[in-house]
Amino acid sequence: MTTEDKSAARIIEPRHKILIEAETTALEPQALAFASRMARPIGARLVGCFVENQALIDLLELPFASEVSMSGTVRPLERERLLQEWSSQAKQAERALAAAAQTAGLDWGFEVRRGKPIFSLLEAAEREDVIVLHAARRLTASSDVARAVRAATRDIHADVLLTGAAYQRRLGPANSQGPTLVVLDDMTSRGEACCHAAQVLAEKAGMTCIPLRIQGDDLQAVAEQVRQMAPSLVIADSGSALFNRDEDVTLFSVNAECPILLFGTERQ
Amino acid sequence: MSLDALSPDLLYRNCDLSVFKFETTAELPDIAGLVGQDRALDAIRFGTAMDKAGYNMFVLGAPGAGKRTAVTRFLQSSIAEKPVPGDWAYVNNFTSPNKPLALRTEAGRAKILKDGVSGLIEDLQGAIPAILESEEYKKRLMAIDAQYAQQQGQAFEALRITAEAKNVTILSTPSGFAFAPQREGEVMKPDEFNALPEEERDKIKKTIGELERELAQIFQHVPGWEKERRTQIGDLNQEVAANAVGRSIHDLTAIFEGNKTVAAWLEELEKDLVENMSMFTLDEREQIMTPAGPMPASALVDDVFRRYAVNVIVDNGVDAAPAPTNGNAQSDFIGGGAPIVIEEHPTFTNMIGRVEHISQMGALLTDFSLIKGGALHRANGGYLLIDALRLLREPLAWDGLKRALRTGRIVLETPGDYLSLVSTVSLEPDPIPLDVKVILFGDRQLYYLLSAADPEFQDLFKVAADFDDQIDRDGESDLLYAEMIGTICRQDGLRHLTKEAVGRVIEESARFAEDAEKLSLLVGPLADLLREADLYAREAAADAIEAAHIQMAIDGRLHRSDRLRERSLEAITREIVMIDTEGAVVGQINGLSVLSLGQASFGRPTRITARVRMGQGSLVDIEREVDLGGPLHSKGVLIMTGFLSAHFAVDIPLSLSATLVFEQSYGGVDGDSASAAELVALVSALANAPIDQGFAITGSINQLGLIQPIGGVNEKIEGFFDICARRGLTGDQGVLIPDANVKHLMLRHDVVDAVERGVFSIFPIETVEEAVTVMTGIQAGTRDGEGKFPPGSIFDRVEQRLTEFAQTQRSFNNSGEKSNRS
Repeated sequence: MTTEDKSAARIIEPRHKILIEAETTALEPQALAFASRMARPIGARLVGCFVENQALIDLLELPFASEVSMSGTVRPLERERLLQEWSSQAKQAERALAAAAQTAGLDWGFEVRRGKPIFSLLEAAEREDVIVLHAARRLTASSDVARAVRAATRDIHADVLLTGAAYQRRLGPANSQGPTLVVLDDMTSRGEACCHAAQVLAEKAGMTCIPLRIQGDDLQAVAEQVRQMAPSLVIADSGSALFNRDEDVTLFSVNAECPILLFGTERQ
Repeated sequence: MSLDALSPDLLYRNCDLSVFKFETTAELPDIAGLVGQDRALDAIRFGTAMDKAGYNMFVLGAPGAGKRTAVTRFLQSSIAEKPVPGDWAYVNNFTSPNKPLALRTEAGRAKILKDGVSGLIEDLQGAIPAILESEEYKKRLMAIDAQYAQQQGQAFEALRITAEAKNVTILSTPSGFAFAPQREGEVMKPDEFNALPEEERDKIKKTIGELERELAQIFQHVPGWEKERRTQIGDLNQEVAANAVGRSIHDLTAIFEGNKTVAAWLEELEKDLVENMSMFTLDEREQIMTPAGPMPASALVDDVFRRYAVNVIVDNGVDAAPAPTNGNAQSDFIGGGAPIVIEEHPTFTNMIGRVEHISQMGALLTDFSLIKGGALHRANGGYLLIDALRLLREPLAWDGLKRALRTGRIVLETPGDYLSLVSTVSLEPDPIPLDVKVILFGDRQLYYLLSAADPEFQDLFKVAADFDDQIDRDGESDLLYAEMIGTICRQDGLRHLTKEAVGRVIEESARFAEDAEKLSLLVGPLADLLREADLYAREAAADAIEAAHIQMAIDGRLHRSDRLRERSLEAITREIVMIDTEGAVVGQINGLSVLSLGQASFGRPTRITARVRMGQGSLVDIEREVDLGGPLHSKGVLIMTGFLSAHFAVDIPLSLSATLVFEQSYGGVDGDSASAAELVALVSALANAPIDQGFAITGSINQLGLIQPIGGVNEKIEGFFDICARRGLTGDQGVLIPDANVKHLMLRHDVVDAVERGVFSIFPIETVEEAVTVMTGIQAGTRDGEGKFPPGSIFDRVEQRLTEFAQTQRSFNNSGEKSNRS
């Protein structure tokens, strides 16, 4: 079996799961719909993971525990209310996930963990899973997201689908020209394998696959090129030389105005 | 006194064919206008020329007089000189949608406006999404978003960095954010925090409090930033939309540059299009159509752009006028110059217009596009022709029309609004100025009734065009009549008439007019006769309608409606209805009446009897006593009483009690044409002189004993003749008619033949004396120089009888007084 064949076989094989972060906000419907659409061709389960932040529990023990609401009101942080709101949000996210999975005819699951956001999600992930993460978080250091992506792709060897509010529109229904998928080909053997896998995925998902050669290009230029192509999804290898720094992946995704699926490393 | 019967030549006036210099009416020219209607045509000419308010017309005349044809023909010949009125359209009022605007354009231009706006919207449906997808637009939009994101991002990131620098981390809570002290990158545990010196703890508390306030301030700025972002996006959209709309609307604006109201509306349209540019994007339209969302009237159907539609309610363009119909449509429109609209169904809404509604999700919704114009809109600037009776039969239609004429505006209201029955919010479309000439058609009775009963009628319908029913019959009018017949034949596609046939038609027309010296001007019945004769001519494969075909048509018509007449004759000949035509009887006389039922109209003899005795001067009319006598009949009887009391024994009290009855009459009796018969019967009873039953009499009397003319003289004579003929004419039979009716005689040929043969007679009478003399065979008598009637005369016998009654009455009274005294 050649490298290409192995890569293609890897995509076709049933995945463990697509792990979606539900965190403290409800699942983004468009991201969920996109994940559902992707789950079908790769035969993955859809799993939601709601993380209750342990740090907030710890904060409750402190005498000055309070929160600032979105309207700018400062009020005491109360344990009972916090737990109640978490429970409510988790249920809401679970219902949304169930509805999306049932619509797409997928197996699904939902779990609630307590720990550190993002990283607890990674704890729930396994090799060959796809982890859906938000690229931009208010009042969260982008380095945290970048570290999480790195950990997921390099340590867990999972794939990461990076979504974000700035480009939700792209995750929506296909436009009149049909959904397109751009795969970044860095002219390496890994890039070539990535292209092949992307083509298989595109075929199964009913999308048009457009390879984009990126040898020697800088991150900003490639992001602008992708933005102008306005695809529904970008696929890249997480080990590509394009992403030198941890933050480069999130930066690329934001500038390209497009969600990005990063294949995990050492995933032959 | 001897009375001569009428000679046959007075019974029927033949048409003088020598005045006709043609063989068939095909040789005659079309007649311009109508024969004998100069007065009416002058009135129409005056009414149409007068352009002041209130000079609307009421065209009155008998049905079939050709009123509508004449008016339509006249108007058609004159409308070309009048300017074509403009078009009217209703459009959306962008500031007050419930008050649609009325736009007036030159004729044919409303459609251009409608198509232009429709094309504009179509253009923009393509152009605006293209602009929104353009790279330039996106870049500018991104710049705004980036600025917004930068504002927020910088503020939040600065706070985050500040917090981190102070060893404080920010945690996301379900409804906001919380600050927590951290040590070595991890949130400080309560034990760790409590282990800190108090001073340190206070410092952390203070730091966190400051950070919370700072974050609260940022959050409070967010709505302002968002508002600014929306404003910037709005400005951007307006800028690009203004360019797109401005380019597309430019041509349309140029077309209507000189029309201030349209130009003003186009400006409003442009503004609205720019303000609602998002409507042209798919997402926005989906949002508008969301069932749970607010539902403006413009979302009535699946087209959100209907708010920009142009609802043309009057199109006077060259291509808009439909072909004239035969009047079988609900309304007829005759185009040309000024419009002529014939409204066949003049309901309130058909006249004034209406606002329709669409049922959607259980609610009735409407907007300006559902406004429908009425006949007044279509006729505005021209003429509206309506049948007055139909108009008056429709609820509110008359009031609605009057109000429109009075105010000079068409105010669109539902009947409910008009009566103030409905208080729901509805449309209040702009009233439209009204400049129309309304022409009502009706009979004379209706005209006089409206004049008397409606004070506004004379103010609003100042012109009466009175169509005559008859024309004098002479050689000139005969020729005009022939031309009119030719015109009708050409218009209806009938065979032309030979001059003999024309003569026969003229004779029948005189009979229809009930006057040998007149011709009927009722074109309707005349045209019917020609059509029916044309059928017989076609069946006979004749090239032209001949006199025989006319006669066949007359006979055919009579035959078709003859069942009742036959039954009536049969009842008399079988002596079920008792009418004597021979012998002599005291106090019994044959009166004559006309029965008109549907198309059938025929004369019929009626036995009238009188009985007398001594009394208090009362004359009992049994018909009146049982409410079968009409007022005119009663009047005739009272006149007769007046004649009796003044003519006989004037110096003594009238000591008579008499009864009069129409035998075997079970329906109502009205008219005074039997008063002469009743008087002769009463005189016969008083004089005890038998009346010759071979005679029948018709005529009314006055108090002086003069015989006055009556109607239906031909039918009455023929009715009695038919009975006599069936029983066999004896030669002693005849009819007495008022002398004044001789000129009306147009009798059937069989009657004229019988008179010629001397087996039937018609006597013209002028006085009661003549009637009595003929019918009793004894001189009635006239007073001599001493005031006495000739001895033995009928009137002498009457006077003696009345004197006897009076004396007997006196004796009876005296004996009564004596017995009372004793």
